Amino acid sequence: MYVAGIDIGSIYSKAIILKDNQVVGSLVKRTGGEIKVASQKLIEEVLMPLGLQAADLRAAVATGYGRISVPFAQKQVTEISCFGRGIGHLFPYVRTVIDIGGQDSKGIKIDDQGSVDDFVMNDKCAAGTGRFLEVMANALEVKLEDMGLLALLSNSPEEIGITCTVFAESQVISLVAKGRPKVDIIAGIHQAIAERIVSMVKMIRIEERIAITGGGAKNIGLVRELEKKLGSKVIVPEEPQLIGAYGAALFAQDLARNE
Amino acid sequence: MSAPFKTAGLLKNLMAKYYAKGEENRKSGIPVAWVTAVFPVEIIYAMDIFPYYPENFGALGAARKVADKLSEYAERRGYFNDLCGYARCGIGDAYATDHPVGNILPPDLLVCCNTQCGSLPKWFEAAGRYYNAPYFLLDSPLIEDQVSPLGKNYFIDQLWEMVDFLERTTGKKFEMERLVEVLKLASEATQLWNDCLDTAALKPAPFGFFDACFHMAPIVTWRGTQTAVDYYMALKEELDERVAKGITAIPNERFKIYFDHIPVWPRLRWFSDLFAANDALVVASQYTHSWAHKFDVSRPMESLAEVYTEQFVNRGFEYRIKLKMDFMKRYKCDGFVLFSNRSCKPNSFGLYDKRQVITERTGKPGVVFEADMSDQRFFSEGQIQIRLEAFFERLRKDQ
Ligand code: SF4
Repeated sequence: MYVAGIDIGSIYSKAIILKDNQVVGSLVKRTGGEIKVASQKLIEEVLMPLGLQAADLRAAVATGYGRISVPFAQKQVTEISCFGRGIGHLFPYVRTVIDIGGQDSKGIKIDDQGSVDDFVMNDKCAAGTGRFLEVMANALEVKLEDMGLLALLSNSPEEIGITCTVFAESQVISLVAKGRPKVDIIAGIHQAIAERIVSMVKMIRIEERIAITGGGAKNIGLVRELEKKLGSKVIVPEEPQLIGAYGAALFAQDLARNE
Repeated sequence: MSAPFKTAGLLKNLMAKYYAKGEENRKSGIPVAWVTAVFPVEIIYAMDIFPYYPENFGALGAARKVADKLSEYAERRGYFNDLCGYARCGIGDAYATDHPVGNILPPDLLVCCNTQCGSLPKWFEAAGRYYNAPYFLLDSPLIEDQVSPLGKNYFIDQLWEMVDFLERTTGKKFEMERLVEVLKLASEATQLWNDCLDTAALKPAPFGFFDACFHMAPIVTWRGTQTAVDYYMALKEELDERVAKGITAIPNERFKIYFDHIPVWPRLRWFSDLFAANDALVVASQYTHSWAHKFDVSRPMESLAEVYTEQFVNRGFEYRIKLKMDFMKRYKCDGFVLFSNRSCKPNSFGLYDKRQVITERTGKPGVVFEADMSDQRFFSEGQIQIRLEAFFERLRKDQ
């Protein structure tokens, strides 16, 4: 019995295929074009190596911002529940999930089943999200994937205010113009983001253990900064970006079993 | 929202007539006074002055989805888009060349009470200068816990000062007997309104908050008149009939929700559909209960002072939390939604803390979302939908 979890995020789309509880296929692609068409392509691509087609799936659940536009999904579940479920399944002792996605970051409190007790999300501004890091990487002419490592090289991070993405960008550009070392600017950016995320997640009273998910979890500089501010070691799953899709696939499995 | 109410047609008729009457009245010597929503309008009615509610004009512009258009006229004059959306609608319409919801009615005088907020006094002040009309401010002291005798006397003194101001500017006479009659009618209407709101506690309920947002216009504008009493009698009758026939507000009521505060007017339908699709009915809000008070007609001025200074928006943090929790208990709510309204600062402060405290004390889930009650430029559908859907998923976990 094959089931699929699809997570259409603002920057990346993710897919997971489960066969009897085991992950047999996964894919991460940039979200582009019309979501209906893109999600169709995504599922075809992830199923191809398995020699399967969408019609072979017993169930599919969609999550993420594009969740309502996935034509082959029988059900939509919010990313909040999906991240909770995915982490709860892998790490039943985790109580707080911090998800750092492309367009928002969230704090999710879960029970030992991965079921959501409480959650909080950032407000409209992109500061403190993956998109923000992308804008900063561009402004600094550094590759996004290098940002985290570079942040670790600094001994005297710059103070950077990030209440607003646009203002932060101009502050970064002026620091570059003043000849400040890039690593210090980058470290400052990471500190500021971590500060912002932690103060938001505190609104739901953080309980240990803590897991970090989403694209932001792949940034080692950010993870270290978060650990400092949280005063606790965090768990980063092997594929942090795929946890939402994994949770969705687990919901799809429930659907298939209850049929 | 519920299937259309018979009374809804009646209300539309009455409202249209009321607005048309403003200019007519002025011609026949009845002055037009701008008043605020939480204000002792009973005195205005007792003196046969015509009260006009610029906030209603703002809500109308918002509900018709033109608040942003009207606001742009105000913004061009330097009014910032962070100001209350009602004020931006009213000020915008004064400067506008087109009037998508008709013209705002110019005042002969303006009376304002700051129990509600600090935006209204500033708006009215600016309007007073623009229309060159006299302006009176009724200043309500902030109350942390209980109104002090000093605070109450301060307000009563101002009520008498206002009576004096009204007599001087309009040439009309104030009579206590007439005020007592008006207060009786106001009490009758507020009692009936309360009864209507209380039907939302039934499970399943015939009436919810989104319905109340529509049917509240008469209690805001006409309390103190026979029209309001008649209207709510008709509504109450219709609700009783619905209960008898088993007509409910939403098809499958599973959850009862408390909602703070004003609705997002241009998206009222969107919200009520989303809640209904999740089998959730919003059953109470301090907003629609703002006009569910009672008067003691044996002490008219004291009673007016108590009612209008003790309004919740004029109260401290703890009081407001308790008020929300009381509503949740009375209406047996399963969860709560708090709307952080860009327009309305006094109703949006501390919402994240309030959410946390209420959840800790009641064990009920809650969620905060951000938007503007009138201006669609600040509405981000995806952001709000995910919060509400995650909240509904959380509610289902409890059942
Ligand atoms: S919406 Fe809020 S700020 Fe605007 S008039 Fe009403 S109470 Fe005042």
